[in-house]
Amino acid sequence: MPGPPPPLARRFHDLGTVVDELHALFAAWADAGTFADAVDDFGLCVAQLAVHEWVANLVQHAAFGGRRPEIALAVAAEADGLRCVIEDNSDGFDFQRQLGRQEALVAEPEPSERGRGLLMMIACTEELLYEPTADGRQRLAFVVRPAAVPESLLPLFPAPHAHPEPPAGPAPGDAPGDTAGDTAGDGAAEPSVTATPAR
Amino acid sequence: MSFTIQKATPTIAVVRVGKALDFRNAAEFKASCQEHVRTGVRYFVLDFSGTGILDSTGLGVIFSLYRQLTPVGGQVVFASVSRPVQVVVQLTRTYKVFRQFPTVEAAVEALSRPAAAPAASPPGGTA
Repeated sequence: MPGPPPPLARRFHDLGTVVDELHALFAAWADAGTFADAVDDFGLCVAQLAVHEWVANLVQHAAFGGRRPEIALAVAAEADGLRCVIEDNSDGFDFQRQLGRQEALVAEPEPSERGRGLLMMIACTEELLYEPTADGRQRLAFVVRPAAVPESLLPLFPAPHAHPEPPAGPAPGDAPGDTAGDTAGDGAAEPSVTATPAR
Repeated sequence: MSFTIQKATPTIAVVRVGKALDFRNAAEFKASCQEHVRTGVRYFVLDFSGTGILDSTGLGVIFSLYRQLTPVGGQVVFASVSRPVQVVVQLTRTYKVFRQFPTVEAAVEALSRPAAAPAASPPGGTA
């Protein structure tokens, strides 16, 4: 007799282990087929990546003001995707300003290898909303709908060169006539982002 | 750190990425690869079998290595790409930049062929 389904929500307190705990949770959901009716394995991987990027941002940059860190993840199946909500008790940050910095970074001739997490996250999600809650926490919500995920993201990694022959492995979405070096940009959907300044 | 690096030939190194390449170990990954570049390695085969996490920072350091090697005719290629890594590769269209091989052995064999591994001149740049 199968056991109870894995939980759909979880709270984390240890910034040193939260990333591994998150991925273990997603792995359990994948193994159990928890969200199989809402998304395929590609969609679950996209949701996992988006959650990872946000939590990585919290682990590296969030200020908790001496409070015991708390990061709460809730994932719910919708008709055609997954809705993810991540709340934390950090001081929050200026989402739009940080996003502007990342957009400027990737446009530099020799961009840093860091600082693309928000771009990665917003490009593969929809209805992204970042705002403080009534009780002073920070809340990020987004939806992953695999059918709407663009084949190429924003130009996160402009490439000066490319391999001279087609990839040996699968290259889904590789349309004839595409040129190397445009690792993204063509056909990428305009992300929808709403951010309310943190307190 | 979950990765290990072993030389397959004096110029080809195989990096077994392990469970994760992300913001937590990216700097160490970069430093280790650069140490091998200093010893003459020009081709890196990244073995992604069993890799559950490749995030934007991890991909960023791979691009950094790629940018370092392409001017000297080097290459970075992917092998045994796991599903989570394949999703990142697809989303970022980096399959246009990094050749993929089904196995490490296939990648090493391809890079060992002189015609497939130009070592002296920079690529023509097809972008």
